[in-house]
Amino acid sequence: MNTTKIQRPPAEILYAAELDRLAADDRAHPKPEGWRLSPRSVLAFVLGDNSRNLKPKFVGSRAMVERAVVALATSRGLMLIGEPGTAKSYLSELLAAAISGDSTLVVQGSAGVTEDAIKYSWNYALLLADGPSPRSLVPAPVHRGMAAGRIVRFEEITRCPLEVQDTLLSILSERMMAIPEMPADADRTLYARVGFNIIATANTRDRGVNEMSAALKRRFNFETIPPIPNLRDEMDLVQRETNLLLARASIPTALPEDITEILTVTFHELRNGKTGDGKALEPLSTVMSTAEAVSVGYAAAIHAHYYDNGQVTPAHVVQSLSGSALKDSPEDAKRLRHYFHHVVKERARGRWPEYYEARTLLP
Amino acid sequence: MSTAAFDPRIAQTTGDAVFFPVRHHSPAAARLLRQCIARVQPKAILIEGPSDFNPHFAELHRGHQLPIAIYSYIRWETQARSGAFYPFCEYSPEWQAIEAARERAIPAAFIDLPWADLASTRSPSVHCYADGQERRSDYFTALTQRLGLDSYDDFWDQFFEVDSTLTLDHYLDSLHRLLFFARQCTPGDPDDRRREAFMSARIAEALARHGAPLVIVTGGFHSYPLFCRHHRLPYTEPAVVEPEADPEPAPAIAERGIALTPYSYERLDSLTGYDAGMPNPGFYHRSWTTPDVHRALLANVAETLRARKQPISTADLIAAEGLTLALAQLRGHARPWRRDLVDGIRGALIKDDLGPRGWHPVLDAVHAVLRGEQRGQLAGGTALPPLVHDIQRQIAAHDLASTPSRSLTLDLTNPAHLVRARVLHQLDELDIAGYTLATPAGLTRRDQAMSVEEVWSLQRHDAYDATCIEASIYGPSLAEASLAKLEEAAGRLERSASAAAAILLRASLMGHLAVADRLRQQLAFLIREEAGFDSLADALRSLLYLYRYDDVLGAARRDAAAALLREAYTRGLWLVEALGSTATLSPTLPDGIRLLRETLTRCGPALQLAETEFVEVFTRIAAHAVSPTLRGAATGVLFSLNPDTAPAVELAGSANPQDLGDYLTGLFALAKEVLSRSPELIRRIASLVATFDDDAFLIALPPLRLAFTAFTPREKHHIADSLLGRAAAPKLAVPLEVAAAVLTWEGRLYAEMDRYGVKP
Repeated sequence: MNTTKIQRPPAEILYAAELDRLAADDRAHPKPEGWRLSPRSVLAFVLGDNSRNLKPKFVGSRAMVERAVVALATSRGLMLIGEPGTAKSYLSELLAAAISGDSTLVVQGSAGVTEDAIKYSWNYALLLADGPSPRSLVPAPVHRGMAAGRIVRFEEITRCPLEVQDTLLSILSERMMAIPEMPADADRTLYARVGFNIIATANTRDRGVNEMSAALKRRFNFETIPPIPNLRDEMDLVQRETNLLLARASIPTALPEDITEILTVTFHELRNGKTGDGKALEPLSTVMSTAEAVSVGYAAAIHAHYYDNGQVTPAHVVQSLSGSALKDSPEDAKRLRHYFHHVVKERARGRWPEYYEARTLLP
Repeated sequence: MSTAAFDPRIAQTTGDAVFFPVRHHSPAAARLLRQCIARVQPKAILIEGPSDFNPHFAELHRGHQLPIAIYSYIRWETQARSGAFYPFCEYSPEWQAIEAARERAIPAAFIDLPWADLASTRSPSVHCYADGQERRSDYFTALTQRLGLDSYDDFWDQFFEVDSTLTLDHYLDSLHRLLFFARQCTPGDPDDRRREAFMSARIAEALARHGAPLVIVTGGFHSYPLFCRHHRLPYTEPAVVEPEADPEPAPAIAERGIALTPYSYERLDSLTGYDAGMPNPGFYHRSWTTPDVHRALLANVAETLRARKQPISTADLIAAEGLTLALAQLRGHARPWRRDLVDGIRGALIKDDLGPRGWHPVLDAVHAVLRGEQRGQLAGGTALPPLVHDIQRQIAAHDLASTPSRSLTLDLTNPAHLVRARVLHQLDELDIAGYTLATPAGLTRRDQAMSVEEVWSLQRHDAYDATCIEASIYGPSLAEASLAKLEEAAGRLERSASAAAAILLRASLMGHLAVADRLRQQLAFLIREEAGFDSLADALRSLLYLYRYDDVLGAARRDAAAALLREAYTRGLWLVEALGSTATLSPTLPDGIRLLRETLTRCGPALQLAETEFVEVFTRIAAHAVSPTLRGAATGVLFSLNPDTAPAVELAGSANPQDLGDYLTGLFALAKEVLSRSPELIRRIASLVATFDDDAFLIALPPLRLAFTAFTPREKHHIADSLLGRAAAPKLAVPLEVAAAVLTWEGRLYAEMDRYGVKP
């Protein structure tokens, strides 16, 4: 495959060399059946390992990733939950790429998802011509994952209707799928090959996991993915990602470090409902994720590039903030103003005073 | 860094002295120590512990229920007290050394410098079996990071606890080496060297008296220097920067003592920072008694959770165990261990979003089980715990005997009374039976009164002795025990500033001024975290009181009190502005705003509070707040501060029947003088009310009535007069016969109502 033309290559292509190297190293090590890498190598791939020249790809606690990896080797699925924008899907992609060498078996959950999109459907021309047969069956991601013994990713599972979610019950506990339409007995049951498992993600903002059936919950191990707790780590990530986006869009502007600081600190504090010196504040109802911070930084830089000679100022941040973060909520606008009046105002350092002056641009 | 070479002979179990390094409270060390003693067959066992306890050593053999602690205490001439604990659990290597010596009928002794010779007034309470040196060591910090482990505790688990087949020789060699290098990175301080010189001398004496071989059980940090001293080998470590001499020389010691006292796992586990030893005593206790520790604890967690009405199925437990085992395998643990168990339970049993605080009932139950509930008890016949004696002493010294029963009135402004009140408050804190505060001083209401009086009831109570002994778990002296209990309460505080302020007040009443300082820091933190205006207002009230009367309470930390008050005030302004977004407000809101105003007007100049900021905040509230009560209160507070610059009373924004009364309630609660200042206001209200139809009026009436309760009857009379005018309310002139007829009719009416059981 010519990877240079792909807009966003999946992890197994982006890190193909690393994965091959790890797989070669792992030849002698015990692995869960059906896995390409040993659990330790999966961990090293995700979190990085200096001694093996692996860059960290995900910022998070080691114990949490350990639990996630181990859960996939057991008879339960893995459910990643957390605020939107905490890199749940990214973690599931990395895990699938490392374990199965394939992160593309994805079901995207939505209100419109039916069982067909999860299990299988039919090629109707062949169905009419030949009747039901393995040839006329169109496998959906879960079918393919079971047949090949791979990890299947189920994104935003809680957005699916409950009865559709519960399709997974027998698949997760019996590890088989009934295909009653098939004529031959041998084809009527698909047994999952070893290596098959499901990583589901759910965000806690839309429809929480509380609405999931207890029966399905029981078949998953849950891991809450917290937002990045360390401000320094988050600042580095925002800076890196924003500049990467700018470079991809061929915009010769970079986000200055002092602006990144203002931006990240604002997001960090408003998300945690707590200022750097421990004062509690009312968190915004909008999602203040790292991903959102990156998009605000990106928007501010683009604004500066096209209208103001590429000099990114705090005013650009305020404008982008009110556009993309507030999402038209008057309550949030009020909370943001409160934040400026009581927190930003007190900060005399760097470009914070400039930032405070720009508050007039808030709605 | 020095290039001193490690001498591997220290790890041998031959020779006249075998140095056994321990981590205090490590079951692995205890198990291997037993093996070591069996192999060496020593003539005597020497243990790192206070040598001034040696005369009472036999007391340890009485069959106590562990955990217990040796408590060493001193009273300085300044009357301040300091103390140190040497706690023992069943699985402590030190305890196993004591037991082994008893079983073999060989002598055992403590060889460390008495703590009183090391103590400084700076540390009121010390845990002597902590891992401070290891935790402080850069070597271990670097090592744990390199290995991808979270803490020194995990490091220790991984290398020494998990593998139950770890051999004695391997243990001795690797631990001696590790601590040798740790010490080359982070050398001992002058106190360590003094202690090592002392211990070395005791070893030489013991060798002369009991003969070879000896087993010497000390913290691993001391083993190598002791070994070098013993064999007269050169030992160097990098020089340390000598700590600066204490500017105030320590006062003379007036009294010192040492005794056994009961201890608890809860206290052992609550120690943090450099004072911490091995965490989770409940877990290690189990690992000492049960080989299958993870399963036993998993069962415990399940029982605890079920007792707390959390549904846990058998399938859940199977999954939790499976995950625990798999994690242990991934981490290379020979058997599932502490972190594996916690992570296994966490992964398999928690089915919810953990939220930003990361708290969950399941985790809470896990921690309770890992902490353990064991509480120590001294065997019968042991001398009473020191606390009992101290309480008797304090009661006698301050003439507080509870026989005969009496009630005692104490005036806190009288220094002699204040001292007695403090003792009583300390007794009260410890729930000593027979001492109750009948009437607390009217602390918060004391604006005019010049005396602050407390009334105590002192009664002979059967449970008095029992409660004294029970309380000794907190400490050996009344002051320390009450302090420890208070600190425990403070440690449990989560996020309520008002509760923290209440504890601060209690600390001040008990005369714990030093801890009051620490509580102030905690309170400052909680105030910043406080999100509820009501709770903050409560805290502000206590703080305002403390600030104004700290001379009475003897707190004498005016600067600290001022800083805290300023913090609470600023936070209050912040929160009151954030209040606007919530629709329902607490009825005590005007009180809170009044407290803010009071802080500003009474302490503003001293605390350097800017009136402009206050005005800005309330101007914004008056203009934008959603709640009419809040808008009214903001307008009122601005008016009361400066009637000339205050924004005009704006009825138009609250003209609908639901809001009018609320707005006026807020306004009058803060500034009822607004009516006398602008008499036309009442007419504006009246004409507004006149526009309401009947339904609207009925809706408006209750809040309007509430609003006018701010006025006294006389004021209400004046309002009515000014509204209706004298002419509108003429004197009633009723002829006598009409009045009599009305009264008769009224009498009949009441009689009729009575007949039908209707109450008038």
